[in-house]
Amino acid sequence: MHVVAQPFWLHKVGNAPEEYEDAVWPEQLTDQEGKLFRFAVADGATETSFSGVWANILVRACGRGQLKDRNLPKSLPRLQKEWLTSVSLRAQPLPWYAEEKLRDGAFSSLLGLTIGPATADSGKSGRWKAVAIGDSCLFQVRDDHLITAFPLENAQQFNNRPVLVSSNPTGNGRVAADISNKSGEWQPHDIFYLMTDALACWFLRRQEEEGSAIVCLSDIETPARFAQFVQEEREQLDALGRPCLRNDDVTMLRVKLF
Amino acid sequence: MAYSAEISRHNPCCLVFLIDQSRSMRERFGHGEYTQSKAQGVADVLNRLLFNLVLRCAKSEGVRDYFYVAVVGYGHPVGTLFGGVLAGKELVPVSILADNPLRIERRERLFEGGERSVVNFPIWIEPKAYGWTHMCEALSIAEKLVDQWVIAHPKSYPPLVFNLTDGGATDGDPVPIARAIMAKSTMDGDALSFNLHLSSRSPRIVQYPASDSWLPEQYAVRLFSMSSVLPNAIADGLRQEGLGLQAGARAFVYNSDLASVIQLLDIGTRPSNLR
Repeated sequence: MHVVAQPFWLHKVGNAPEEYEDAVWPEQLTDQEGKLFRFAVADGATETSFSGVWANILVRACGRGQLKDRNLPKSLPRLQKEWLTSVSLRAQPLPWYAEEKLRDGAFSSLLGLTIGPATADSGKSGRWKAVAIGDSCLFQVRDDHLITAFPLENAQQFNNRPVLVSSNPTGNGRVAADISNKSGEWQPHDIFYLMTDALACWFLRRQEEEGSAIVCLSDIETPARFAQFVQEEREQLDALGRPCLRNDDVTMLRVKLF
Repeated sequence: MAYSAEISRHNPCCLVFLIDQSRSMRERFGHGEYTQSKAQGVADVLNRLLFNLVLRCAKSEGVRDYFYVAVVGYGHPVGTLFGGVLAGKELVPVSILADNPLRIERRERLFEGGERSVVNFPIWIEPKAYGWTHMCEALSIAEKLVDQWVIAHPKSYPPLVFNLTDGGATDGDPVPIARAIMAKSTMDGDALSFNLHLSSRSPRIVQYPASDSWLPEQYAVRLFSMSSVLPNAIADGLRQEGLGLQAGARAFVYNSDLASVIQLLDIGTRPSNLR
């Protein structure tokens, strides 16, 4: 199986680039032959501290196959320790609010995708599986048609309070119940998109209203073109006067199968 | 679409709290489990609110000034309640608040999952209950702050003014001043006026009414008329908490207990577009 995975990202307007808090795996363009591939995106919550660090720990673990399938909570303690060690090494002593933020922990969405090997009988198609917490989304496109949207299926399902996974062990009371899993079949020339929520919401809304989201994205091959596209959509207003693309960190990983 | 402006460092949000500190605030709440005075209850709620605001704005590199906050007490005297380094300052950015509480106490906090831990509890506001109810004077200060704000920040989320009181004004009719505040606007909408009435007597709470028909006292009718119609985002937030609101529901709670105060302050200061 030949896979080309290309990440695109842009920070929120009004923030500095280093304040970007999404994460993606792989971080660089990947063009490889192989039997099995893993990909991930994560969106660190704005209101928590060191959430970018947490998002990166999650996607790295996902990309390296270190998260237990169907039992994500059991994989978390080691990652939570890694986060705490990483942020505790920073400037000391901490102001009172930084102490409290560490105590509260960071929160993030997570979307992981595994593309399995071609099955023996077909030789040309195989199975994929995905895990999701929160509102980062996976879209599977075949012949310019959207055939899978996961875990959210329409733009109205997005809200401002998704369940997120926490770097604090006591902050994951609801997570187990809100982990979603899905699997399906891949075929050659399928394209998978992994997106964090702002772009995912844009995608579903544009696809619902105009059917043109897939065509829009197929035109993007470079970071500069992606930045131009994001700027245009942030500036364009819908019928209610809202930006078509909400101002937020934007991340997209496009995975093409050959 | 109104009340949808993004809150950011370039486009911060203005919060003004007006706190009744008249003599009657020494009494306890008329219902609920809180056993201390209304003055202590309100001070605790405000300190907790400011604590949460600072945490919401605190990032790895420091505290981002998403909010500017004023807390004005009215009893005797009338004026800003910030003290210490912040004494005399009216509207303070949240980063300055974060670094300058009066003191930090250590209190026990219950976390999700049942774990208890001793945490930092900064104190900015001290309880006080002395003098008459100079609400008009406090509202005039709020009007000045809101007026200056909308001129300096024409694109911001509209200013929010919260008035916590246990009775009627003793220095005149507050309604015209409150309406003057509500008439000031940014490009995102009119300033919002919230009124929470704190009672020591009757247990019947009236939450977010759409009409003043059921209000038994004249000063309650006045507080109703001083209250904005709730924007959809805030009304939806309250509905998600299980409250059934009618169309045209006002930002007003009569005979509020401490829990209702906490609920409205939390939802009212949580504009949905600071994610």
